[in-house]
Amino acid sequence: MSVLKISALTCSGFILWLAPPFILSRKIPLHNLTTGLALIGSFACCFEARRTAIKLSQAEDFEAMKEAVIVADTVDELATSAYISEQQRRIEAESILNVGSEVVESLERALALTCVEDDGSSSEPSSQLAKNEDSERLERILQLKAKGYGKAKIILEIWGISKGGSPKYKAAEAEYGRLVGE
Amino acid sequence: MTKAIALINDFLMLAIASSFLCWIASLHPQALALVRAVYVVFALLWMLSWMLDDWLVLRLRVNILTLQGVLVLGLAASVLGLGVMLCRF
Repeated sequence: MSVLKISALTCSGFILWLAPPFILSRKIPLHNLTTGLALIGSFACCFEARRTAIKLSQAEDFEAMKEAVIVADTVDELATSAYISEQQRRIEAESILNVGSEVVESLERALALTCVEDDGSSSEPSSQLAKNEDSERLERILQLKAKGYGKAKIILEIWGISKGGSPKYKAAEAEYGRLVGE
Repeated sequence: MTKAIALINDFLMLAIASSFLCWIASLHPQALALVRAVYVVFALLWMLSWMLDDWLVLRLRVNILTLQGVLVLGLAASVLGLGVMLCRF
């Protein structure tokens, strides 16, 4: 719109400057006066066109600067976000590495504790085994008793030792007594 | 674009001012003498500007090419305005 206005004012100033001197006579006073007025009008038109053109040029410069600032802001924002995401990725990677080392440390610690526990109570599993063995033998004894077996026959069946005065039989007999609770 | 239009309007304004001076000169013989004196003064200033262009460049803080362009276009516009009024009916 402003460019159209500037163009119209420039064209009218040009026409008002050139047309009257070649159309109107300088010997007729009215024509001469009209020529002078047309010259003043053409000067005013050109002055207004120039003023508007300068104003529009300044506005265009301002818009270009604004656009440049927006582009620079966008570039800056993108660079900042890229920097921040890179930092976040680095922090996450470091935290993952730290967690991994913590897990390894805790596993090592747990393993060390397990070893210490094994060293301190190594007799417990063997006593547990012995208890299990005793309970199995007692159960077997009770089954054989229920079938009507006697003491000597039960010892023969479980320990495989026949009745006599041998120390093995005596030990089996003592074991039998301990299990049955005699 | 708008800067070029502004420059064209500067040129037209100078030419119209020159034509207006010629129109004033056509009104009365004394006005003609006055306008002739004005033209002589402008011509002297124009020639002085060409001779003292280095000093003017330092004083006005403009580019030498800009100053020379203004002087050439000013002369062209003045001569054009004068010619338009001399060639009229």
